[in-house]
Order: sequence, then structure tokens, then C-alpha cells
Amino acid sequence: MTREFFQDLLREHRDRIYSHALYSLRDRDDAEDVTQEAFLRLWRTDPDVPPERLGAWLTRVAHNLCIDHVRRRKTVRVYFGRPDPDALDSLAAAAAVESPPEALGQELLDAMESLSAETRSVMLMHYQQGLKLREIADLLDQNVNSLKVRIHRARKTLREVLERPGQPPLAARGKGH
Amino acid sequence: MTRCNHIESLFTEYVSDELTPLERAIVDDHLAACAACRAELALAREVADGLASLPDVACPDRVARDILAAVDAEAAGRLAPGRRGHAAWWRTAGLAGTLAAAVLLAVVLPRRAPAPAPVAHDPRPDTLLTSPAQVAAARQELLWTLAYTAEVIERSEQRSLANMWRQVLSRTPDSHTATIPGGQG
Repeated sequence: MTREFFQDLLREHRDRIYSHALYSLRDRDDAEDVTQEAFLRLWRTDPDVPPERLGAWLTRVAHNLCIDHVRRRKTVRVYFGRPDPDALDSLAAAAAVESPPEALGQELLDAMESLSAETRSVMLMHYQQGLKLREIADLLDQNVNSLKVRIHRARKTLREVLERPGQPPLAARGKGH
Repeated sequence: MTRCNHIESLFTEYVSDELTPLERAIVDDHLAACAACRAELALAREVADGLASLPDVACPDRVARDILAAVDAEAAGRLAPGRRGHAAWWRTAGLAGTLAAAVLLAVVLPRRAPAPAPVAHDPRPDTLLTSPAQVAAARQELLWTLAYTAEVIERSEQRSLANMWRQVLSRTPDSHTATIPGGQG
């Protein structure tokens, strides 16, 4: 892969990869790390796939890196054993500051914290990036039906989170904000 | 699977227009007669619309510059400045920390343990490792340090995790217990 071609790929896909990581991890530094690592892997690996599939290749790498990041966050907690609640609160507050302003999308991102990292990433690929289920299935080497079940269950979880007592009906949100 | 469950399982593709015409017609027929499924479909649309409303966020130019700098440096067979240089510093520091902890664990601590044979009374008040229990506790601390330092090395390229580590450590009330009692003597 030439540097020029790599630079073209970087220009074409960097916002999409960064956005996926940012919405998935909700932390600007982590999103930057994932973006950098994904593109460096592209450069170092120079995967043997057709040029039109390199965007999908990058998406898969970013998806896996996001899942790794979430696992490592959990590992940090295990190592420390007794995390300081104040420190974790300040980290959560910092993550909230990073969030985008879109009202319903923002609420959905909050609710999606209750999903697994993998499911969150799949939801973002399908709905935010507009990838078809078949494309995601090919990308992740998974069965379309299992993806459908995963999203169906995720939607039910989101309903439970978003429609807790005291919350306005979901259909009434995202309007007038 | 009930009729409603089967129909609901098709909503993801219904909303993203991935059903065949026949499947779509079946769903439409069911929706005309089922209020519960219409409500479920409304939720599916809300989720789809809400997430679709999230725009792509521009990747900072600085990140792209760092990536290209790293690529150029690798192509030139040398380490890039900036973040990769920073990562290399962490790797070196982590390795040095691991080696120091290993030396303490293997060499220093056994010598600080109380001798099994009768010995003359040691009048020095700063020799704090006076019992096997204390030595065991100190060993445990060092093992923890080794494990943790190894983790830091593994994550040396993850700037945000390193920041998280420093922040949590600085706020952990008993972080001072990671030091070795009497280690300054």
C-alpha cells in the first residue's frame, strides 16, 4: 500500500471510524486511540482485500478495538479492587461532557450503556452508519438471524431503560428539544 | 414463537427496508389488526431515527497528523515523535519498574526477613519487617505491583487509560500502602 493510497483511505474513513468509536466508547481520548490504532493496523497489515472492502475492514477493526477498550476498563477496576467512587464519578462526568447534543440520540446513547459493548457497536453500525444487516453479518462473520435477535433484544432493553416510571413516553421525546 | 413475536422479529429489517415484498405485505397485514405490534414498531422507528440523527463527528486533524507521522516514521525505520514516542517512554518506564520490583522481590525482601537462627538483637528502630506476616504482606504488595506494572506496559499506548490509572491512583485513600514498609532504610 502506498502512502498516497493510505492517505486517501484516511481522509475518506477517518470521520466515520472516529464517530463510531466516540459514540461507542463516549470518550474522546479513547476514540482517538481507537482511530489511530485502526489506521496503523491498516498500514502495518496491508490486508489482502479489494480496495472497496477496506472501509469494511476498518469498521471491523474499530469494532473489535472498542470491545477491547471496554474490557480493559473493567480490568482496571478489578486491579484496583476498591475504586474511589469520587474518581469514577468524575470520569463519568467527563464522559458526559463528551456527548453530542442531539436530544433523542443522546438519550439513546445513555440507555445503550446498559447494552454489551458488542451489541452497542452493532446498533451503531446498523442505525448510525446505515449498514445493512447482511453487510454487518459479513463484516463480523456472523449469522444474519443472530444479529436480528441481538437487535430485537437490545430494543426491548432500551424500552425498559427509556420508559422507566417518571419518564415521558418515548414517542414524545426528541421533539421540541 | 407467537404470531406477534414473529412479526416483531422482522421490525429491524422492516424499518431499514430490507424485507422482501412478500414479507413486508405480511407485516403490514398484521399491523393493520394489532395495536401492540404497531406500538412496538413505533419504538423500532424511534430507535432507528434517534441513532440515525447522530451525525458523523469530525476526527481531529491532530489525530490524522499523528497517524501519518507514525506511518512516515515506520516507513523510515525509526520511531515517530509525539504519541508513539510517549508510548515508548511508558514502555521503558514500565519495564524499569517491573525490573526494580523483581529485584526487590527476589533479593532485598528475603534479606529483610527475620533470620531463623538466634541472632543478636538489632537495635535499629527503622527495621519494620519484623515478622513473617509483614514479609508476606510486603511480598503481596510487590506481586500486585508487578502485575499492575505489566498491565501498564500492555496499555502504554492507551493514553486515556494511563490518565485513568493516574487519576484513580491519586484518589485511592490507601494508595500509600503500595510502598514497602522500611524500604527507605
